[in-house]
Amino acid sequence: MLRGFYNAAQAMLVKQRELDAISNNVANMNTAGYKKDEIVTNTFKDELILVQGRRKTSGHFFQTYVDSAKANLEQSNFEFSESKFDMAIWGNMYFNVTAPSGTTYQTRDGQFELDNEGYLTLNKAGRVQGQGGDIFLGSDDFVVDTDGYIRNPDGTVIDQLRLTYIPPDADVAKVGNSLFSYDGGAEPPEGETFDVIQGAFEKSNVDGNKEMTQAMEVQRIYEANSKILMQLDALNGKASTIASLSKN
Amino acid sequence: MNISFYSAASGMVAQQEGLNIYSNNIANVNTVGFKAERPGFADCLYTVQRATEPEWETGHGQYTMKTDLMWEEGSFTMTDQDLDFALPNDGFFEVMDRRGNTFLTRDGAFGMTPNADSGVWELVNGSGEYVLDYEGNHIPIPFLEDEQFDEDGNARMVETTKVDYDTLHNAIGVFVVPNNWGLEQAENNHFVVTERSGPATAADATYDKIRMALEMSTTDLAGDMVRIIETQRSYQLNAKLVQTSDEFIRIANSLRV
Repeated sequence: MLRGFYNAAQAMLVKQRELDAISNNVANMNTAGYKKDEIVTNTFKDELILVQGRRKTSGHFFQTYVDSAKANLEQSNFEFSESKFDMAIWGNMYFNVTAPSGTTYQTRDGQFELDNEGYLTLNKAGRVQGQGGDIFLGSDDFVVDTDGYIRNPDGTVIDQLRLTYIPPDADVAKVGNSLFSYDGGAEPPEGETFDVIQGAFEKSNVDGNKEMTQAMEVQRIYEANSKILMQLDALNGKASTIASLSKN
Repeated sequence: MNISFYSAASGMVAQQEGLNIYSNNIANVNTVGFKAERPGFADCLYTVQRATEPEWETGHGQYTMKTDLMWEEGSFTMTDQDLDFALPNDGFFEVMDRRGNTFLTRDGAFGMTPNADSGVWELVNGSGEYVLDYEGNHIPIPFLEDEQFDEDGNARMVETTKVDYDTLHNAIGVFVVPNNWGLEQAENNHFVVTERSGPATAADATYDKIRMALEMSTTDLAGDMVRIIETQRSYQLNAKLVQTSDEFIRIANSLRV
């Protein structure tokens, strides 16, 4: 019977965590290149628990658990801007950005700029990578074509953006600053097409309506679980009263 | 433990900062030579909440990573002022304040004032800062000369009060930087050269000037209004989630009466 207590409590904990994820999504509703987190919950249907004192299994345990938080890599829409440093990708390719620590991450945040030394950079996150490493531009005179070639105005190629293919259902880890960490092949599959668009950036793929509806749902489930918990408590209270009655 | 509280609050703070930038754009919708700016947001770090669930990482909200100067050419307005100048291509005027600091500007609403030391009329901008020529010197106003006859009937060239606009037009310096987007916008329509923009150098003659015209602000009123609405809605949703987080705690607190 006490198991019910913990089932309800666990559900409340999970709902709290879901709200954490929803808050993070809503907070990043207008972060360029942000991909929403989705919560994957899992029942421990197959999980059997041993009851103390008995050497046999006793029934199923229907507790909800958070299995993982998965970034939804769905393509989002673009906002066109006046900045020629803004770049967006249509497709499943990602920019590579090398953080000051030396690690290379993937990103869809294309609000680039030049750093103090004239390299193409994503502000604090790190330098954008081309086929030849960091991309030195030194001025605002350049054009980017749809294949990711960066050219001087006279047409000579400066570098080509190094893009990494991440399948839409892949599990990427987020590290903040709009960066993802993904271990996998950089080569796109046969027939995969993409476009690099200069003068636009990809917006966040968070849908405010959906998130708020989810927040409401999560809140009600949380509330319902709290009620269950209180009723179980009342039930326990009754049991202990019976015990004290029989004593007298 | 209540991360959602602070994630949502961080979103509210970032939206507020975004609104500050858009408000500044709109406040400067009539400022000559103003360039609109844009906030750049990013997500904060992600952490594992329980060691037994390493797959489950929680985000911690949003922050304003940077402010971008959106470089684009503004539209021009023709004025009837003889000393208004606009730059149809890239490039900047350079002005020097009384302490000798130089700044770049796209604001070409100039005037003239006599130098306090020499008494020579010089070209200045609206804040009284000297406009510089290609070599970085003050620009004395050139006056046209006219033929006059003295008492003996001899012709002489005499300086009149009419300004020689052609000479003045050519004397005004135009300067360029390698990366316009790296400039820092400062008060009084100034742009400050930074490491990111690279140093300012004198431009060649292909950088044109138009007289009797001014460059308008690049603030996109409709676009900024849309972004303000978006910002406000986002702020509201974040505020609602702060409330929801509070509700969660209220429920948890009322578990045991």
